[in-house]
Amino acid sequence: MSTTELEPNGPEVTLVDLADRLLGRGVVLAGDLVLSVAGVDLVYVSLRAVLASVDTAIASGWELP
Amino acid sequence: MIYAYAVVRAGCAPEPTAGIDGAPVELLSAGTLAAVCSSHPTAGMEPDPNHLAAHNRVTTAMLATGAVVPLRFGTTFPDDGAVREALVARARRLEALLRQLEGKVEFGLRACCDEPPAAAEPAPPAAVTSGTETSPAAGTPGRSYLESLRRSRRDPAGGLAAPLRDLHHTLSGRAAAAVLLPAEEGLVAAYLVGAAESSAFRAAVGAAADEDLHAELSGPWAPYTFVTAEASGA
Repeated sequence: MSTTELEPNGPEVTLVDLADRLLGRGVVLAGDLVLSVAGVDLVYVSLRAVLASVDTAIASGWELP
Repeated sequence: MIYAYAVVRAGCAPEPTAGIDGAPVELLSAGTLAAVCSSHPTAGMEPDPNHLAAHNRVTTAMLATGAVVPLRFGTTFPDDGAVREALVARARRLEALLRQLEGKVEFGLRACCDEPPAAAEPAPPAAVTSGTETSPAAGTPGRSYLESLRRSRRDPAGGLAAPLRDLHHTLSGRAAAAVLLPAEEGLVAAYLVGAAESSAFRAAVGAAADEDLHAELSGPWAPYTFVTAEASGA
């Protein structure tokens, strides 16, 4: 993925930093948090979902095999 | 559909800012709170890079007007009334967050150094020779990721090389709050810093970096990382 098309917020902002914060953090104000996803974004959102599930599993005491 | 970017105090006066797809940004107030919003003809919002950048641009611009509680990307409501209801339903928690975040911004750090981690695990086998289906071999990317995640929960800074641990301690001392984020290697962290101390914070990162320690600072961001625990009630 390229960062060249991003509207600049500062020279250091990368797509990874953006996606980590905006898709994975921030307050969820409403129940209807609906992302319509397509193409490469779907891959990223799916990845976030998997990582978040693993994170939750470990936090609740799940041990690695 | 109403798209919401952030929650701020009612009555703050934002600079006119273009939101996602250039839509004008407006404040919808309920009591002491206001949601920073824009109107869109379609339902849902695709997380494409330009939309993410626009969301971030709006939340960053609001930092100049006072405390900002950034919302997760994709927060939408059917109409103005639903936005106001959501603000009223969570008013107490949102007001507490705004008080905590007053005058503060978030910086993100990614740093690595050539020195090996202090508590390095034994090196995994270089190659999987005869892995069976039922016992995944140590050293696979998935397993090593999980192990690094578990280590970081037990001792957040313990697995870091000494220069990175020192850097994190130095920066944490300059921050109102700090969070170490899971990373396969190196130091990935977020710091909540007083806006007035931003320059000194940047300088501290610059002073620590040398040819053996590479550090990239991002920000200032709206404090995405420092509202998440409260959001989930943790």
